[in-house]
Amino acid sequence: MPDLNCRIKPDPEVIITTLEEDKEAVLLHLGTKAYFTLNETGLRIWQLMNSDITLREISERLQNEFDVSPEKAKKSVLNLIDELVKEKLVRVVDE
Amino acid sequence: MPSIVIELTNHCNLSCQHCLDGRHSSDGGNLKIEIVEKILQDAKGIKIDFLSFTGGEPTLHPRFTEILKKVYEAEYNFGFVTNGWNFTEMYRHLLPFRDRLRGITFSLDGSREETHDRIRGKGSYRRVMQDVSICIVKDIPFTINTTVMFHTKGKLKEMAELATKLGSRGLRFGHLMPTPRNIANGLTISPEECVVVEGMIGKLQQSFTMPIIMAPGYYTTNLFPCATLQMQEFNIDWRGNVTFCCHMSGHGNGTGNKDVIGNLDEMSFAETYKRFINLDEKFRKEKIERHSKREFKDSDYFPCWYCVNYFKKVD
Ligand SMILES: C[S@@+](CC[C@H](N)C(=O)[O-])C[C@H]1O[C@@H](n2cnc3c(N)ncnc32)[C@H](O)[C@@H]1O
Ligand code: SF4
Ligand code: SF4
Repeated sequence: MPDLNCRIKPDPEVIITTLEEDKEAVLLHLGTKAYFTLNETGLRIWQLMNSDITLREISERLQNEFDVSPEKAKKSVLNLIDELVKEKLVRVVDE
Repeated sequence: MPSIVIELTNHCNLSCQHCLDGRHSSDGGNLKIEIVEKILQDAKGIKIDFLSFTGGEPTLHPRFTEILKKVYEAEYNFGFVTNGWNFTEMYRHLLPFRDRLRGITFSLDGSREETHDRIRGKGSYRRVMQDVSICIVKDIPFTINTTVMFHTKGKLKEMAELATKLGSRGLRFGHLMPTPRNIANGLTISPEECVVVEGMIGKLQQSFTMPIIMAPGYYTTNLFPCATLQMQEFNIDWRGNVTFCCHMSGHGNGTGNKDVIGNLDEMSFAETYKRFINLDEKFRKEKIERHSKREFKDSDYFPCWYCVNYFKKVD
């Protein structure tokens, strides 16, 4: 299971489509054809994943940007990444 | 209920390998909005309540949203077929008319990215995948249209599986109308292969719960197998011509317009409807006669070929 020291990358077979002026997005895995919707926070986590930073750094950015507690930010990141790993939508780069 | 297929424009942003050249020529144009208004005025009178837009690429009509608004306000249900290229931008404009939108048909000419993109151009498959993602989230019903060609004929089941997994409400297989370009590109299949394909589609229809439709055109002993020949579908091209069948609009460019019933710039839709009935009667009578006199050639059992020859759309 990924922890806060991990870096995560989107699976290359995943297509992202943003909706509603970037407030929502939907992922589609071209291999499994599974859809997955991201809310505004989820979409921000996805975008930050692409900047090659650890989950800890992602959660710190969320704390600032969305004005949430460190605990809540960490939980959001880890829960989402957990689901994304299960759905094969992301890959853990290093642990 | 009968419906009308309306070619909104002859312009297109793509140049797919299989497409009829006349469908996206540079000298094309857009259907006049006044003609759309004429159709909306008269069509209810002959119990039409569904309009299906095609092209070229129908969403490229410069007044597409305005047309949808008029269609909506006149209380017609509608749908359209699209290459999906600009759907991620334009879907917002559809949402106000959502409750009369019966479905969007996305053209998909390969279950895999490489196959589809070879026909329709790089990036096109991924765009359609983005489009269907939006439809899923926004609860917009969609179906998929696949033209059966040399490279898709062995992948019909994969297409059906893909459509099912994507959440499509249906899959329609269309047959390929040969053009000099698609023949030269090796995309056509033989009449014998068409018959095999038809059998395979029949099996898929039984094994999938998603509705799978096969467009008319393959071998059949039914002399009047399609909606047009059963007076359930009317066709209007971008010039405002009411034509016998949308398959033939743009086909055999410059080789005759015997399939044109009348132009809506010059007459009302109700008038063209009367002419349609007369032409249909003549067509029916002659086809039945030729068949009963055993004058049918093998190719006449492929109904679209019969029409193309009948209306002299080929030299
Ligand atoms: C002419 S296009 C217009 C709508 C839009 N541009 C699109 O591609 O969906 C409508 C459908 O006709 C199909 N088509 C194009 N050329 C064809 C041909 N030669 N024979 C049969 N169907 C064809 C396309 O694949 C598409 O599904
Ligand atoms: S099939 Fe549709 S998208 Fe492709 S060139 Fe023809 S009109 Fe354009
Ligand atoms: S070409 Fe003839 S048989 Fe084929 S769809 Fe058109 S009207 Fe029907």
